[in-house]
Amino acid sequence: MSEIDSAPTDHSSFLVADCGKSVTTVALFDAVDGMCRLVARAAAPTTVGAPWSNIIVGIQQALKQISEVTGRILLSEHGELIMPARTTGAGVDHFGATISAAPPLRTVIAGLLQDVSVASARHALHTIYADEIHTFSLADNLTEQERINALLEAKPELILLTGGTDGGDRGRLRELAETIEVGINLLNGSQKTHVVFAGNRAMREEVTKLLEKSAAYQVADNVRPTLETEQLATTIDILGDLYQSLKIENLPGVDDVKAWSPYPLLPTARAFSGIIDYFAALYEGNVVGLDLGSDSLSYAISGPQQQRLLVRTDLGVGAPLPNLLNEVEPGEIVKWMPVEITSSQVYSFIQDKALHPYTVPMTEKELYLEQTLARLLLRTVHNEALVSWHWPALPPLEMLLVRGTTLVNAPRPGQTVLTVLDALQPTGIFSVAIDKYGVLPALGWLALHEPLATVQALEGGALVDLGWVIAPAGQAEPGKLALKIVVDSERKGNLELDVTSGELEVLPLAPGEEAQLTLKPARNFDIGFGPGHGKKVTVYGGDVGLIIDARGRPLQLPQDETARRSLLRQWHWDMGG
Amino acid sequence: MITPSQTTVKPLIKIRRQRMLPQAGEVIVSQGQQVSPVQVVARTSQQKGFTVIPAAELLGVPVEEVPAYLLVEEGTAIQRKKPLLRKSGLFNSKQFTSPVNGILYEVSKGRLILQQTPDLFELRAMLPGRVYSVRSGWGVVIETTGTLIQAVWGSGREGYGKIRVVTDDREQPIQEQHIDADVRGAILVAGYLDQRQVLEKAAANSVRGIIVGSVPAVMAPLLPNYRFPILVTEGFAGQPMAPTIFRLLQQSEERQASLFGNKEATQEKRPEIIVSLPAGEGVEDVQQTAPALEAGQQVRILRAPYAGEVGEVVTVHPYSRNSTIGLRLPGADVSLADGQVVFVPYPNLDLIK
Repeated sequence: MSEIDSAPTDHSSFLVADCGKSVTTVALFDAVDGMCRLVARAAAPTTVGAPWSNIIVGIQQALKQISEVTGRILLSEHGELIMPARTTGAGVDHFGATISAAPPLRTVIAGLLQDVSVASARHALHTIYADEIHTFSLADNLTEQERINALLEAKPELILLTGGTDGGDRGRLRELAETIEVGINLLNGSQKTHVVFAGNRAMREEVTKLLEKSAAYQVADNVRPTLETEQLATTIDILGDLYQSLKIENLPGVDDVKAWSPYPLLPTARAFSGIIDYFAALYEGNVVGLDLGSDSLSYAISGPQQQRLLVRTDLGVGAPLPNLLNEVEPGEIVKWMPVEITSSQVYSFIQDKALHPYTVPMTEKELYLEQTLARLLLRTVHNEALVSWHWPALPPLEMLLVRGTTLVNAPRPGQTVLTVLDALQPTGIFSVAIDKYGVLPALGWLALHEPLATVQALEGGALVDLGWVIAPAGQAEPGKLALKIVVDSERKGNLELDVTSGELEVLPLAPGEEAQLTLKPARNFDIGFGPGHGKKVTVYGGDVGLIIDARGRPLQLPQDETARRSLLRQWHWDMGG
Repeated sequence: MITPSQTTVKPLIKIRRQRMLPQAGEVIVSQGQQVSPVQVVARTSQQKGFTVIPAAELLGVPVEEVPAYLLVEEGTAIQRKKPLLRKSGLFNSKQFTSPVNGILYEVSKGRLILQQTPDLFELRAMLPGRVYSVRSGWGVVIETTGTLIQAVWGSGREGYGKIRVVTDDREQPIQEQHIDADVRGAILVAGYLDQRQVLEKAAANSVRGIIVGSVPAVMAPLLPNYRFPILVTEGFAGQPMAPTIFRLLQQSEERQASLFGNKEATQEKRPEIIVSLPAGEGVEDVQQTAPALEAGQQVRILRAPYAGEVGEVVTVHPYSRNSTIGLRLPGADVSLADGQVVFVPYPNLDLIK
């Protein structure tokens, strides 16, 4: 009897593939003692490009690795996934996939005011994998002819047309729509250019009449109905669907993948934000997720008040790394290095890393440099997120979830925590966990379809806890008291500690170990309950321990180079080297 | 199974390369035909852009009245300075002429859209060989045999000329004194490039291309401005040329080579050097697979402190182990030229195949 002919099992198992630009990761979840657990994961090169030109080949290669390690047969002789799982142990019940291997959607944003409609269009666009290849606004001073020729040169797949508050200016929006109509008529080949109109509601009928014949046209709510309000939901939905149909559905071999799964294929960033939403609901608080990839950077926050996602395809630790220099000067990077380095060395390193995007550091200096670049990439996107979402500061967090090789594969876990603390400078009391096994998108997919299995997989240790952070907001002279802490743990008994301003302390607290903390901040420090107000809290240990970050906010670095490098080295040592 | 990044450095191999137009046009060679590097294989007309004339605004008339003042019909060829619009009045008349050569493409909402006369774009074979296949309207695949060397960066241009190695070893820079009238039409090879004056002198002496191990990162943005291709085989971190590549180029001295300097290089479309050679018996066929890492293979190390060094894989470690700085990754022990054996994580290995 072949594996396919044997009987199905009476429990559910899940196989989820995450197809990235360079690597395809497959995670297998199955019941262990009645609970869903991550039982195996494997990675293989993504096979979208030549010579394979079929995304399923990479998935099959990863599945073969799982079979080699676990002995569980997943593929038939013909390379088909065995579904449902058999009593012999072969196969799996459900298959799903998340995808970031598709190229970004080439988009032109057209709007009126840079800081109003164009900014809101950009906020919507940054929720999908998209490249903003050109922008038209009143500030660009382009003639109609220049805009038409710019469109012809850019050859966008999508034009996101916004502008005007509801009932506001019509004339300039009309001119813009007319220019686009002329441009896309000249541009259209065998397929029509997609246009999404998300501007002045009063112009909807007129713009629709103008563009619906020339373009593959859709209408969304005005992204900026008033100067003070932003409504992005319908635009975000349409953009998500367009990315799905224009990019994911056109990947080579995608039909083979779909034949294995009744579930829609999910963009990885969506799956990532999905698991962040899941944690936020679980903890009833704000959770931030950071996914620092080679070719993109995703920043997600979810909580009772909001669910936000920001995706930048022009920033990452690989090929797009030189774009960081559009955001920060090499000198700023030098400033965060704990060892001596010149701006020119930083510049050379960045360009060379872009040529060899998946390489890893082999010297302490390059390790520091990669972590510094990660810090500034995260900080750049964090700052953009605050501006985009109109937040003066990051709201109090329950949890910070971190993903991406540079961060999760740091030689010492304290380096990961220090990098994200320096980048986001969060305050309050929160935990930090990392996606060591690269399964967060898979968990995001699972959370959508089998929430209970997700809880069980997480309880089984699918993520790695690094510890809890106590980070009071405020500033005081170095050496002045910032926070009094009493740590009460079953294993270590009672410990009283005075933490002074400027200090970074790590107390050992093993993974899973519970401790009661009595926290009493000084008058000018706030841990989330008002200046000087303390509280008793329960925290848990992790690979780093309990971290008390009393360096103040915003972080201040000494002007003097020697003193600055010495302080940065001190912070590294404080966090375990 | 570990599959590291790979660079093809082959003295003799069967090579097939696509030559495609940027937009549909006409292929003018046929399957099986022998082509020379300078031979045009396909051509198309390349758009120069559109000119928009706001006719209604210029004439001061409603949009729908513009056609009444047109002196040419839609789709008609027009010449620069020829009248396009005329409005006669009782006391004065207005006339507007075409600012470009081209056609009146469209009259749309009171505007005249003029399409400028396109340029003829000719696609040359750039390498000698046989037309292996034709994609009608777009281009061809050319098959040849010869040396194939993949680079890591190119300045975006293509070129063809005789290889001339100007430095004695792979660690020396190309200098101004290497360039004189004697190298006119040649492709120059050196360990690395670090002086801009060299490029100016190369341009003045009609050099057809430069191949070096590395260039300074700050110089890279300037290189696309030169009309000849510049290919970098190692990177931007001051690396000398890999010994295997330098040796092979030395062996190709005075032979005709084609340079393809793709700027937006992907793993599938890297910049490359092709030296066509007569086909012999048993020439290795085009490789389509990505071989796994194995003992005995030649690898190049991509990161400091061994960046640019070439060695031989002694042992493959398929499971994670600690690197010198504590990173845990699979990798391989590599024997370097000085006899030292070092563990290198697999992402830092580039398999020379």
